[in-house]
Amino acid sequence: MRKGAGITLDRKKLQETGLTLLITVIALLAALLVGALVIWAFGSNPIEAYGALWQGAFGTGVAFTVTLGKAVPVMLTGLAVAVAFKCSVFNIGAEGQLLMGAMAAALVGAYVHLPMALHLPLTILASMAAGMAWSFFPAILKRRGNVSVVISTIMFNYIAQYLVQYLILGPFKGPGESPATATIDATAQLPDLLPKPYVLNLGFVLALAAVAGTYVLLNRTSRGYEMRAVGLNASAARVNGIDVNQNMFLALLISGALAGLAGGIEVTGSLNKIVNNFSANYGFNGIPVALMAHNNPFAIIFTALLIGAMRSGSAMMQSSAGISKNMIDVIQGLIIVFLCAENVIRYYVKNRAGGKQHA
Amino acid sequence: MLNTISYLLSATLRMGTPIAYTALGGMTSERSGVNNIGLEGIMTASAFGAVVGSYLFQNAWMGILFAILIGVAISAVHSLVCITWGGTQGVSSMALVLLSTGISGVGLKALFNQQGNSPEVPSLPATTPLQGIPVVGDFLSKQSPFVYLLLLCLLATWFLFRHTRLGLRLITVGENPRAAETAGLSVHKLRYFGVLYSGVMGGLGGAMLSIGSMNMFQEGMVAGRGYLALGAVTMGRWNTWGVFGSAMFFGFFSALQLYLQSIQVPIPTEFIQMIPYLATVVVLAATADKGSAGIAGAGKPYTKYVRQR
Amino acid sequence: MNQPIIQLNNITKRFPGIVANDHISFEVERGSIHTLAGENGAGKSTLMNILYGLYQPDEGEILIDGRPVRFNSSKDSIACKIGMVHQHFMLIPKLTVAENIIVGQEPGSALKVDRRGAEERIRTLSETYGLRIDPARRVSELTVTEQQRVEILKILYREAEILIFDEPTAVLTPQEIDEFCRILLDLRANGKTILFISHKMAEVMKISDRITVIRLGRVVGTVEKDKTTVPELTRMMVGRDVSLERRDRRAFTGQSSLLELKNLRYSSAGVRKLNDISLTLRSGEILGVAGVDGNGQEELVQAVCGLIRPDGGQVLLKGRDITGESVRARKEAGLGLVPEDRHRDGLVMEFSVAQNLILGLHNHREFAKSGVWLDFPRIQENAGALREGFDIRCADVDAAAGTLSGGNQQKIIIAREASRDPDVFIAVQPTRGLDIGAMEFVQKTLLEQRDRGKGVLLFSLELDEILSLSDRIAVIFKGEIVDIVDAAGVKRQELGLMMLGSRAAAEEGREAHA
Repeated sequence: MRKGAGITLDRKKLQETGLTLLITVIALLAALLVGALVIWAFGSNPIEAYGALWQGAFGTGVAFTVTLGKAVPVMLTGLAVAVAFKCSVFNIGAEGQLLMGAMAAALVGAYVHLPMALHLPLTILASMAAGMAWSFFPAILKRRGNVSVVISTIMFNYIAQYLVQYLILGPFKGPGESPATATIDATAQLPDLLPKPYVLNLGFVLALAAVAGTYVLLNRTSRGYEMRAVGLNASAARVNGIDVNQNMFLALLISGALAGLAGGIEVTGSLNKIVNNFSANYGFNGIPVALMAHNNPFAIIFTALLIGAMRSGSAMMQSSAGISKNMIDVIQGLIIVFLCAENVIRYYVKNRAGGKQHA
Repeated sequence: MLNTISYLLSATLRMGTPIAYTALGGMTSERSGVNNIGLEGIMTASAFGAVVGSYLFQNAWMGILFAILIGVAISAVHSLVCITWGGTQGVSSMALVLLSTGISGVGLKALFNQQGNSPEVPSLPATTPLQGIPVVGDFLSKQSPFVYLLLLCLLATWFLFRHTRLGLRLITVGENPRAAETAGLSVHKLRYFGVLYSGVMGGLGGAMLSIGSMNMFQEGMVAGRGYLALGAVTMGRWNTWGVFGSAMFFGFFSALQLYLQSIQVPIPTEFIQMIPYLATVVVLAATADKGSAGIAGAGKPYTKYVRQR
Repeated sequence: MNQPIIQLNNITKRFPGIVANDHISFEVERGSIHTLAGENGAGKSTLMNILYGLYQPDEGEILIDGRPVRFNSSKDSIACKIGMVHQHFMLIPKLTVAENIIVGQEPGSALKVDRRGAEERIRTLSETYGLRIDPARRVSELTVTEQQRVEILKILYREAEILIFDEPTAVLTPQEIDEFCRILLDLRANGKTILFISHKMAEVMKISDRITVIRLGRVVGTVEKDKTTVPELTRMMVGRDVSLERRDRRAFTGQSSLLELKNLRYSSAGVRKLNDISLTLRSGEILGVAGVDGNGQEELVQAVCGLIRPDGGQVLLKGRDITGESVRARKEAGLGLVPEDRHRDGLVMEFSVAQNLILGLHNHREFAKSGVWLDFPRIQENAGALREGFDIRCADVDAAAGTLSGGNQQKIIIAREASRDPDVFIAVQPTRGLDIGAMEFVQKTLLEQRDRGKGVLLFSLELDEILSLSDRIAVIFKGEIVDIVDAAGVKRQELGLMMLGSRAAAEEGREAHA
C-alpha cells in the first residue's frame, strides 16, 4: 500500500520534470519561430541565418570548443542570477560584478608575481572577492536603506563600467597604444584542456565545479534551506525565525562572487588582459540562462551551452546571412517571453490530461 | 553666474524630461497593479523607432508617432505576458530589455546597414516662436517641444487620477483587484490600459532622446534612464507631481555631469560620468521609506479562478 | 404560490480534486431572509460566488424571477440586482467611503466623476436604511462595523434586490451582531431578499425565515425556521451529534508565571496600536485574548514573538527579558507560535510536508550535522513520526504542503510547534476555516499542552472558542487590556460590552461575581 503510493508519487515527480522540460522546449521553439519571422521581416532568410548560426556554433570541432568556452561565463552569471533568484533577489548587476571580477584578476595577474600554484588561485579568488565587493553595496543598501536591488545593481553596472574604463585608460594602462591593461603573467593563466587549435581551458571545469557547489549549497545545507524558504515565502520564513534580510544579503554576495568568477575566468582563461569595452553582456545573458533552467543549477549547464552556442554562432550569422548579431538578444528576449507562458501551457496540458482521466 | 544657472536649468529640463515621461508611464502602470521594470527597453525601442519614422518620412513628427507605436507594441508584450498569461512581472520586464536592444540592433543593420548608430535624421525643431516673449523668451525658445508636451502629459495624468472615472477604477484595480472584480470591473482591461499608457509615455521619453536632444540613434543611448524613471516613481510616492519632481531631480545630476565636463574640472571624465548613477543610489538610499506600502495590489498577477483552499 | 426570486437547479462546481458543489438545488422566496448553513469547507462560499458570477458552474442553472440567467462575471449579476458582502471586505483603505461605493457605477461624466453628487446620494441612502456613515471619510479610518456598513451601502447603491452576506458576523461582538440583525430585518422590511451565510446557530435561529443546510457540497435539506431546533440543524450540518457545551475547567492555583508582558507600547504611522499592555500567562492555563478584529491583537502577537520592536515595555519569558531578542532566539527560548494566516506565515507551500516540519528547526543539530549539512534520514524520520502522532493526512511526507487540505496544513504547523516542546504556546485563530474534525483536533492539542503544565495564549475572534477553551480571558480594545476575567463565570454579553471598550461592564461583571 505505502509502496504503491511511493511509486505514484515518483511518477508524478517524473511527470512534473517532463512537463517543465516540455515547457522549456516549447518556449525555445516558439522563440525561434517568432525570431524567424523577425529575420524575414527585416529582409533576410531565416533558414540561412539559423543555418549559419548552427554552423558557427557546432560546424567544426574548434567551433564546438569555442561554444563550450563561451558557455563558461554565462554558466557562471546564470548561476549568479539563479542563486539570488532562489532567495527572491533580482540581481541584474551581474554585468558590473563580472567587470570588477575581471579587473581584479587582470591586476592581480599582472602585478603580483608568484609561482603558479599560488598565483592562479589567488587571481581567481581576487576576482570572486571583487565581484562580491561590488554586490556588497547594493546588498547593504537593500539591507539598511531598503533600496530596490534592481535599480541599485543596474546603477552599479554603469559605475563599474566607468571605473574600469578609467583604470584601463589611466593608471593601469598597459604598454603599447591599445586601450588595455598589461598582459597577465603566465603563472596566472588557466591551463588549456585540449591542444591547439582547440580552445578549451580549465575554466570549463571550474564552472562545472561552481554548478555542483551551488547545488550543494542550495539543496544540502541549512543555509540553502533558509535561502529557498525566504525565496518562496519570506513572510513564513520570518515568522519562523529566519532572518530574511540576512539571507537576501548573503544571496546577493554569493551571486556577486559567482559573477566575479566569470570575469576572472574570462581574463585568466582567454583574454589575459582587459581591453576597453571587452564585456559583451555576459552578465545580462545570465538572466535567460537562469530562467530557462528554472534556476536549477544542473539545468544551467545546458541552458548556458545553448546561449553559448548562440553567442559563438552569431558572428557567422552576421557575416554570411547579413543579420545583426543582436538577433540573439531578440531570441533570448523571446525565449523569456514564452517561458512566461508557463502557467498557460501548464493549464492546457493538465486540463487535457485531466479530461482524459475523466473520460 | 546667471549663465551657469540658465545652463543648468536648460540641461536639467533636457535631461529630466525623458525620465519624467517614462516615469509618468511607469507610475500609471504600477498604480494599475503592474510593475514594469522594463521601461529601459521601451525607451530603447522607441528611441530607435523615432529615428526610423523620422527617416522614412523625413519628418520628425512622424518619428514621434513611430516611437509611440513601438512603445505601445513593446508594452503590449508586457501586458500579454503579465496580465493575460500571469507571468512574473520582473522576468517579463527583462525580456522587454533584451527584445528592445536586440530589435534596435537588428534594425540598425537591416535598415541602415550600420552598427552602433544610425545616420542623421530630421529632429524636432526648436520652439522659435516663443522668442518673442520678453525676458524669458530666449530661454523658452531654446527648449525642445518635448518639454512643453510634457506639461500637457503631466496635467493629463494628474487629471486622469484626480477626476476621471477611469482613474478611480485604475486605483481600485491596483490596490485591490478582487474588489474591482466584485464591483463588476474588468481587471484585465484596466491593467492593459495602465501598461499601454506606460508604452505611450515611454515612447515619448525614448523619442526625446533620439530626435529631441539629438538627431540620431546610438546603441546604449538610453544608458539606464529607464531605471532612473523607475526610481523616480518610488521616490515620488506614486504621485504625479512627486514623480515629476523626482525625475527632474535625477535630470539635475545628469545636467551637473554635463556642466562639470564642459568647464573641464580636473577630475577624470569617467568619475564625472558616474555622478548621475551614484547620485541616484545615494538619493534613493536617503529617501527610501521603510514603512511605505506602495501600491497594495501591484506586482502580483491576477487570476479570476482562485482555488478555495 | 409566489414565484421564488431565486431558483438553483443542480448547481455543480468542481475544482481539481474536489467537488465543491454537488447538484445543489433550492429556492429562495422574495422578501425573505434565507440562511445557508454549513461547516467550513461545505461549499457555501463557492455557491454564493457562483450566484454572484465570480465562478461559473460546471452544471446546473440559476433562475432569477423564473428566468434562467447565465453570469459570466459579477457585472452580469449586478445587472440582475444581486449584491454581495464578502467575508473579507472589498474596500480600498486609501479611498473615501463614497469612492469605494461608487466605483464601477460612478455618477457624472467619464471625464469628471461627480463626487459631490455621489456623497449626497449616499447620505440619503444611509438615512433610509439607518446605516450611519460619513461618505467623505477615508475607509482606513473606519472601524470594522463601519466598513461593513460601507459594504452594505455599496450594494444598496447598485439597487440590489437580492443581498448576499458571506459570514458577516464572524468579526462582530454580540452587541454588534444584534445591531447587524436589526439591519437585516430593516432591509427585509424594505422588501429586499437576503441570503445569509453562517454557521452560528444562535443568530441563524434569530433572524432566518428558512434555512438550507449543506454538507460536503450537497444539500442536506431546507427547513422552516419555526419547525426546527438548534440540535437538529447542527446534526444536519455535521452529520452527527456535537456537544457545544463548555468543557469542565480545573481549578488552578499558584502556578509559576511563564510569560509576562509589562507595559508594552507600540505605535505605527502615528497610530497607537498597543497602549501599556500588561498581562501574565501562568503555567497550566489557557489565557484567551478576546476582542474585535484590529484592536491590537496582531501587534501584540508580533511584539511577543519579536516580529516588531515595541516602543516601550518588556516581554519576559520565564523571568528572562527577551524584549530585544530575535524571533529565532525567542523560539529557542521556549516560544511556540501558530500564526493567524497559515498560508502567509505558517508554511512554505512549495516545500514538502517533511521540509515544513523542520521550518525554524532546520539548523538544529538534530536535523543538520554540525548545524550545516541537512540530515535527510533524520528529517524523514521526524516527518514520519509527526505524521503519525498528529494524524497529518497526506499521500507522502514528500508531497508539497500546498496540496494538503486546510486542516492538514494546520496540523503540520501544530505538529511542528509542539515538537519544539515550547513552554508558551501562542495560538492565533487556530481553528479558522477548519472543519469540525480538524477543529476538535486542534483544540484537543491546546488542552493537552495546558494539561502538561504549559501556558497557552489563545487569540480568537470567535467568542465561542474563547469561552470554551480559556481558563482566563483578557479583553483587548483599542490596544488596551480592558480587563482580565475568570472564564468560569463570565457571560457572553458582558464580554461583548468589554470588547466594545466598556470598563463599566467589566466592573459590573466583577461585582456580580464577587
